[in-house]
This record gives sequence, C-alpha cells and structure tokens, in this order.
Amino acid sequence: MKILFLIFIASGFFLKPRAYAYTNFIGYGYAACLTCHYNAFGNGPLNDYGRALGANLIAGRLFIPDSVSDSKLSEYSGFFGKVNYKSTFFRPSLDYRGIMVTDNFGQGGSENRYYHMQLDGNVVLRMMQDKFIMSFSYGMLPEEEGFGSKMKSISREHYLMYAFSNKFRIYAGKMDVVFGVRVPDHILFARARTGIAQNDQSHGVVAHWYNESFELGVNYFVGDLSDDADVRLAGFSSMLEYNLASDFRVGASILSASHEFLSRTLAALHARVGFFKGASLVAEYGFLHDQEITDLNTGVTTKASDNYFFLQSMIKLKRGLHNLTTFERYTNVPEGSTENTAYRMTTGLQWFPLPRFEIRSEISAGRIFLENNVNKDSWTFLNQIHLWF
Amino acid sequence: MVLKRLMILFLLVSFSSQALAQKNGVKKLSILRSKMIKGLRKSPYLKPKMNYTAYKNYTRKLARTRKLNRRQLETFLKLAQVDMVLYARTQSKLYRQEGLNSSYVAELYRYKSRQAQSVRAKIVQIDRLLTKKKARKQKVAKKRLPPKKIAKKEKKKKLVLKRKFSLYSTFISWQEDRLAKDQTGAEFLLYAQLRGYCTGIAYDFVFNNFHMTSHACFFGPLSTIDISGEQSGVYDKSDIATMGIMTGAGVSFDIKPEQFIVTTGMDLIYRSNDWENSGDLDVDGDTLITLGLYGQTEISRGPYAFDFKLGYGLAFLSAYWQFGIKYYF
Repeated sequence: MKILFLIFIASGFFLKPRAYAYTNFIGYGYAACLTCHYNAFGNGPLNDYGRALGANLIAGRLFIPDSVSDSKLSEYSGFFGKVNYKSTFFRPSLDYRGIMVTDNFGQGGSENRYYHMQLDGNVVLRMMQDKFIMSFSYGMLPEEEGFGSKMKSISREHYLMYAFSNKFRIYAGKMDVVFGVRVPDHILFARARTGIAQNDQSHGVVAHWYNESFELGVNYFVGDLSDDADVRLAGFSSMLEYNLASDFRVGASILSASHEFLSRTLAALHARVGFFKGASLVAEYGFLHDQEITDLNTGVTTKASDNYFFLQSMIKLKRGLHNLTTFERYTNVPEGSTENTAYRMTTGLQWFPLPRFEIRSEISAGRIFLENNVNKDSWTFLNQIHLWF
Repeated sequence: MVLKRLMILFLLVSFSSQALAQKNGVKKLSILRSKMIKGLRKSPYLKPKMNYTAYKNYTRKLARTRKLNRRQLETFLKLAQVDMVLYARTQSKLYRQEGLNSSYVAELYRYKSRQAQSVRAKIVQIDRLLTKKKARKQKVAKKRLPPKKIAKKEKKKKLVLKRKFSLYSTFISWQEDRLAKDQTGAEFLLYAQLRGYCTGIAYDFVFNNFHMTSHACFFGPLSTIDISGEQSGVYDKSDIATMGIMTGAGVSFDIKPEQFIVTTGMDLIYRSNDWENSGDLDVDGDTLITLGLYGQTEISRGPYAFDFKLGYGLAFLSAYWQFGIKYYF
C-alpha cells in the first residue's frame, strides 16, 4: 500500500501543468472567469477583453518603448495583431506550453526532462452579438514518460453556448467538468488526484447562472465519448460561488460520477480573496470517496476516503512579475489501512515579461508521511514557458 | 464624434455623481455633479473638437439635462453601459455601491465591444489619468514646499514608531537525521520528520516601512514526529508526541505598507520528545536545539494576515516550512 501511495504521489509530477485560467487574478479585481474567458468557469480561450487585459494590466513591458501606450498594446492583442472589433465572428488562438522538470534537485541523481505540455489551436465563432458561441480546441496530448505513450492529438474541447439572457446561459459539448477552483497547476493534488485535471474533459451540458451576489453552475456529463464506453465517468457536478465582497468569494462544489469499475463522490469548499492589487489567496478543502472494483474476476472492491487541502498565494512584485507560493496536503485513507499523507510546498516566480509570453520558475519540496517509514524530501525544480497568440 | 464624446462625459458625470450621492446624500448631488464636470472638463481626452466656450456651454447644458432625446438615447444604448461600468471598475467604492459584478463587465463589454472600440482606449486613459492624478498632486505639493519644510516633514516621518502585537498559529514541519547505536556500537542513520501546529505571539517595532520583529510559539498537543531507518526494518516509529518552542527575531520591510511584508531573520528551535528506545537500539537526540535562518512573506487584509515561511535549520536535514494565520491587535 505504501508503495502504491508513493507511486500515486510521484505520478503527480508526470501530470504536467496546463494553465489557462488564473484564478488568482481576483487580486486584480477580476473575480468572475467570464470576464476574460468564453467559458464561464474559466479555462480555454480568452475573449477580446481578456486578451486586452492581459496585455495592458498583467504583462510587463520588457523591450517595449514608452512611446507605445498600454491602450495600444490592448488594441494589438488579437491573433492577427490589431483586434478587428468590426468583425467579431472569427476568433482563433494558439497556445504552447513547455516545461523543464528537474527531479532530485540539489540531491544526487538529478535528471532534467523537457515536456511539450500543451500545443493547442482554438477557434471561437461568435454569432448573434455573442449570444451564440461555438468553440473548438484541437490539441496535442503530451507524452507520458514511463507509460509508453506518444504524443497524440485530441479534440480538447468543442462546445456550443447559448446565452438566454445576460444571467443565464447553457453550454453543450465537450468541456471541463464544473468543480472547485480551476487553478492553473494541474499537478496539484486537488486536480491530479480528483480526476478533473488537464485532460479530463467530458461531454455534457452545463447551465450557468449569475447575478451580483452569486454564481451557480450545474453540469451533467456522460464522460469523454472518445474513451471506451466502460470507462466513461458519467454523472453530475455543481458549483456555487457567493460574493462576500467584490474581491472575496467563497464557494462549494459537489460531484458524483461513476463508470463500470469506479464510483466517485467529491465535495469541496473553497475561498478566493484579493488582498491588494495583484495579491490574492486561493484555498480549497475537499473530500473524495472512491469505490473501485480492483479485481474483475471476483468483483472485489476497495474503498478510499481521501481529503485534500491547498493554499496558493500570488503576490505582485512589479508589473508582470509575481511570487507564487503553494502549500498543499493530500491524505489517502484506504479502507482498513492507516492513513498516508503527502505535503508539498512550492514557491517561485511567475513572470509575464511582455504580452503573449509567460515564464514560471518554481521549486517544489514534497514530504510524505507513511506508517513507519520516513523518506527524504523530494525536491523538484520546474521551469515553464508559455506562449499564446 | 463630438456628440459621442459629450455623451460619454455626461454619462460618466451622471453615473459617478449618482453613485457618490448615495454615499453623501441626495442633497449634494448637484454639487458633486458640478465638481465632476469641472474635473472632467480638464481632461485632455474628453475635450471635443470645439472651441472652449462652446464646449463649456455645452457641458453646462448637459449638466442640467434631465431627459435624453432620441439621438442621445441611442448613443447611450451604444456606449453607456460599457463605459460606465469600465469607469466604475476603477472606482472600487462605486463599484461596490452599485453592486456591480465583474461578470457584468464582461457581458456588457462583449455585447457592446463593437460600439465601444473607439472609446475603450479613451476610457482606459481616463482611468489612468484619474489614478495618477492624486500622485501628481502630491508631487506638485511636495515641489512647492520649501526644502526646510520637506526636511522637517521627513524628520517627523522618521520618528514615527508603532508597536504591533499579534497572535499567530501556523502549521510547521521539518526533517532531521538522527543516529542510533546498538550494543555493539554499530551506528545506523535514521530520518525523522515532524509536523504540528505552532501557536504563539509576535511583537513588532515598526519604524515607517521597516520593522524589528520578534516571535515565539509553542508546539505541543497536536504535534508528532515520525522516525525510521534509512533502510527499512532498523527502527520505525510513527506519531511520537513531541513538543517544543520556536522563537526568533528578524527584520521586515513593508513592500506595501500594512499589506505586504517580507521578513528575514533567525529562529531558535527547541524540540523535545522520547524516542521510545526499544530493544538494543539507542537513538540520540531526545532533545534538539538548533538555529535556523528563514525568509517569510506576509499578506494582510485588515487585522488578518497570512504568512508563508521557509527556513533552513542548521541541524536539520531539509528545509522547514511554516504557513498560517496571524491576527494583529
């Protein structure tokens, strides 16, 4: 069981992060994902406003002369350079992310590995003054080292959205499952271990309501139809967020899903708080209950009741430059066995030196508490590059 | 174009004055309205291409306008919501008063983006202008002061000393290595790791943006330590009750006063527990005292603060972590 848990935790490092939405930007006063994304729950392509905002508020101005104003940068934040607001129908985008992972950093036997985490092309078609939107993303699944897989292409998401009013909209198609905070780091236990990570999109329908004080999403999903029918995780999920203040949101999520071999229930509470311009704290505490058939011949099932917690702070040091610090804990409680707990502390810099360009450099220390077994901390150095057009 | 610009001006004035009026009372509405017009009139971005007198008269007329004509109404529909909300976004108080949600901003912006293209850049510039205005005024005021007064003012500023007292509770964890000896004198390397909660007090002397800070916390009831051999089976124990004190001092810098503090300093850590020696193995270090160097960041919202601390203990195997919440009195 201990070995399984170690593999379970270590596998987190093979699940590469794929950042889209930046939940932490509540520190800039942007609480709702819809402000910058076509998808009301974040992730996926940025809308014109999000791109403009990224250029004139988030990104730095390295090598950009003072004569170029911020509003000019916004105007030129489109895929083809200058945004054509007269023609709103067609909005393409491209995203690339790569990461250099150095295991056992500062210890013996360190090893560098580079992954192409993300190479996505997206097209958004906007109609009826944005009341009707179609989004299609086609991307590459990165190689899973040690799992024998090769880079392959997938349709990462494809959905239609119709806004019945400013406050109510329906999405239908393949997209991310609505649950919890969509933090950019998919190696977080809260994402990697709950099965709602970067490649876990599902076909389904999402309803989204919001008003001044709350935001509610309900998602019915049938699993990824490109997967085999017996392993499609189907069920429903829901998330409610309530505004305590314009920069302070609390929320709750639930998810219930199953396929032929697994029945999963998730519940989580989260909070997002802005401190000052560019500084925020995001926290989530969740429970996971899995009932899995581990032996197909005898039908033996195993149950596990796990819980997780993460806390991530973002602090703006100067325009475009942030400190990101994450503390997380994951407790695995297999039925009839003692609990195992893993902690991870990650800190580093996130730098947007200029529009369309992001660099992240972080160091991460993992510490695992197993019954009667103490291992030395595992240190990992992560260097990430992100380009978007 | 002129009408468009004037309509923006009018809408900004109306919206801002109404929002401010909620706070200051309806009676002051007209005063606020005229103040806003006066302020915006100076804006180089909003001045339309007409001579000054005509412009002045027109803004006066606008200020008195109660009912919009059809053309004005159409312009309003095209531009108003987007621009008002974009303007309101930068005015956090107004933003809250109006109960505007950033979702609305997105919606309105997106629905009206086609129409808003020509004014968006201007709105952004106005926002910048308004936020920079205060800083510019201060700069001008400073320039006007005679050097002696500035020196006096700065001297006074230097003498400001505050004392801050706070309570804090943090999660704490570290790793250390221990040696075990059997009866033959053979040595075995063991790894131990602690996790627990440290609760205590901190006291800060604040000199403007510079702090001298001291703290002390106690970890006990919920703190445990695990220990095992480098090779399994040598000596394994889990959840051994432990207690100790972590105290220290450091210097802090207010990167953003009262909001973001960075600290560096030194900790003195004392830990005590019973290794429950069994069989023929004797584990050293039932107590441990060590010095640690640390860096810490702290962000505050009102009296509450969250801090993350990363340190290196001289007798530890790996870094020690702390994160938690603090309450300032």
